[in-house]
Amino acid sequence: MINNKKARKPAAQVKALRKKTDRPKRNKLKMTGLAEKARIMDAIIQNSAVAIFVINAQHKVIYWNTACEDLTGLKAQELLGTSNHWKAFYDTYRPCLADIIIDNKFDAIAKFYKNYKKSDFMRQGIHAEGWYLQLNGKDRYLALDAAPIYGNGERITAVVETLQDISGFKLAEKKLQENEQKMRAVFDQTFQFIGLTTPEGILIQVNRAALELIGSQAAEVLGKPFWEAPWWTHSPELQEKLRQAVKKAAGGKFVRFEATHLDKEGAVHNIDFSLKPVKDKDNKIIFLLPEGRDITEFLQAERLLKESEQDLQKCYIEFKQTQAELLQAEKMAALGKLASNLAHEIKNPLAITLQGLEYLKSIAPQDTAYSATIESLINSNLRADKILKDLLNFARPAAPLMLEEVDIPSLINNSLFFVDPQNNLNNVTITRQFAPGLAKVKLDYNQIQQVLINIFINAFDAMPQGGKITVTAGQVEDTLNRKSLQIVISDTGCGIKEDDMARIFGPFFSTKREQGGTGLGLAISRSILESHKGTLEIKSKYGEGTSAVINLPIV
Amino acid sequence: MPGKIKVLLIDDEKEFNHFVKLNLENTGEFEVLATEDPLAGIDLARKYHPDLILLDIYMPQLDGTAVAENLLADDLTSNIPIVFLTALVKQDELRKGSTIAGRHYIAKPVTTGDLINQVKAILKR
Repeated sequence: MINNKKARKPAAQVKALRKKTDRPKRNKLKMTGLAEKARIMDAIIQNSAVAIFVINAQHKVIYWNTACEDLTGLKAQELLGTSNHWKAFYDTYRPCLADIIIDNKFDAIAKFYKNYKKSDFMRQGIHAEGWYLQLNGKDRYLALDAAPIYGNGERITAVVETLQDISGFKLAEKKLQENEQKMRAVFDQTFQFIGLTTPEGILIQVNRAALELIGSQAAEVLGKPFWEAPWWTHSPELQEKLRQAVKKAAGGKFVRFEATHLDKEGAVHNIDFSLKPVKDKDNKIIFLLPEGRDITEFLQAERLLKESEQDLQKCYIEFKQTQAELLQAEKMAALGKLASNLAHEIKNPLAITLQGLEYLKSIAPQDTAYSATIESLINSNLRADKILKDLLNFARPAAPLMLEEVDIPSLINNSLFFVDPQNNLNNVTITRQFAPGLAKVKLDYNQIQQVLINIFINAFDAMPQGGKITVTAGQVEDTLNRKSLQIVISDTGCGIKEDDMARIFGPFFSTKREQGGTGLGLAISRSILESHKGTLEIKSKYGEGTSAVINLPIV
Repeated sequence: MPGKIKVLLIDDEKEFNHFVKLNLENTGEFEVLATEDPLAGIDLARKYHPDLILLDIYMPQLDGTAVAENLLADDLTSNIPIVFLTALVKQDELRKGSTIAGRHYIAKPVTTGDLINQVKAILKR
């Protein structure tokens, strides 16, 4: 309500009146202000979310706020004016942080608190922390801060102690530490080489595997540009490649390439290397993550696998060849049986016609068309018989070898003797080059002679205008140190056309039909050498000559 | 002039016998008795005692090797040279023949010239 009379008084009067009445009022107000302050302080402390208690110099509790009641479960009214505040925390008596400060017994802190230090929040305060089991029904990790309150002079009149339950923070911190330890374990225990660099490529972390490879300590490599660390210094090209990779990765690209590292013994390791940018939540590149996987063994395994594949392929080809040879052998065996039966059936009528033709020849007028025709028929009959004989030789199941120790130069000379007389008019010169002291070799004399005769006949036939035959014989060794006799018969004849080379061992392939060739000579020769576990190879250049290379194992 | 060479030819091919007889006898040096029947051949050998017997191996009635065994077992014929004349050209069959008599054989077909040469060569031994 407004007093209208007072309102009408002049300002000066009011001022004077005030002066008059101000002093006692001010004193009263001063008193009222202190009480008010105390009341406000009391309210602040009581209502603070932080648990606070205060003890005086006689260790009596003078404040125990609501938060403190909530934290400890003990009510203020039970404790105010007592020294029982320790009971809130301990089963048996021991001083609280506030008690130690009041008694000025700082030496005792270490005895009662493991973790303590100067308080970050309170001037002249002390901070301690630790686990309190079953504090008001819960295990709690408390952060304690206690600081002295001074009265006049340096005398401590009270100590205020705050208590904060930081169990959640502590558990999170513990969890974080555990996680970090796990991560560190993975980082260090992995076989992969892992590190961390700044976006500029300065190495700031490296794992144990990477250090063990080069036999270095972390201190020797951290803080260096990555490309100047020992993993890279053996190759300037790789160093440059890495420098470029760092630039690319710092630009946000994932880089991967194959590199080599030298280990502490100098052995080369093949590394599948990658460099990955690591971004923060704002998508800014904060680190580069280099990783290396040792793929030396993988590459070796890959190489071995490739070799195995090649071996397998080789085996497959050999298998197919053997299969084809077996098939051919089966065919030949069947052909042999057929040929043998056929020969008997044909040879009897051939024998009759030959005798009949010879009789006709004997009664036909000489030198007439009749006698010429009969002569031609007789020749055809004999030719048919030769074909049958060759066919039987070729297709007949192999006769058992009659092995004997044979002097090779004699065998060659005797074989030449059979062929030479009918060809010595052809102006063919024969050169023999036999290795001195050539050992005798076990073989079937007649069969190998047949082979040599076949090849000599071919050589002479290839040089109707004359030429040169060179025969060499000597001992050779293959890559497995297996010894064999090698006979090479070379001529300077017409050679074999490239198109014909693939067919020369095929039965009935002949370029000498006109001269009575049946095309079975080389096929029979090879078959004989194979039964001796030997080989026959024909090398030829059309127009220049041919070489037959015979290899016979020496057992 | 010495007498003609008496040859006994035992072969189941009648035509073959016919032409061989003609060709050999045409030379004037041979007298040839020929039969397709092996049993008759054995009788002829005993009866006429030829200088040489040409004997086929494969004959349906009686195998040539059996004929040879018969002839060798008989004192009347055991000294007559036997020549196997055969189209059977397998090595083992030729060996079988060679173990029985004088290890002589001539492969069919054969020219008259070759036949005469070989027969004469055998008789010379």
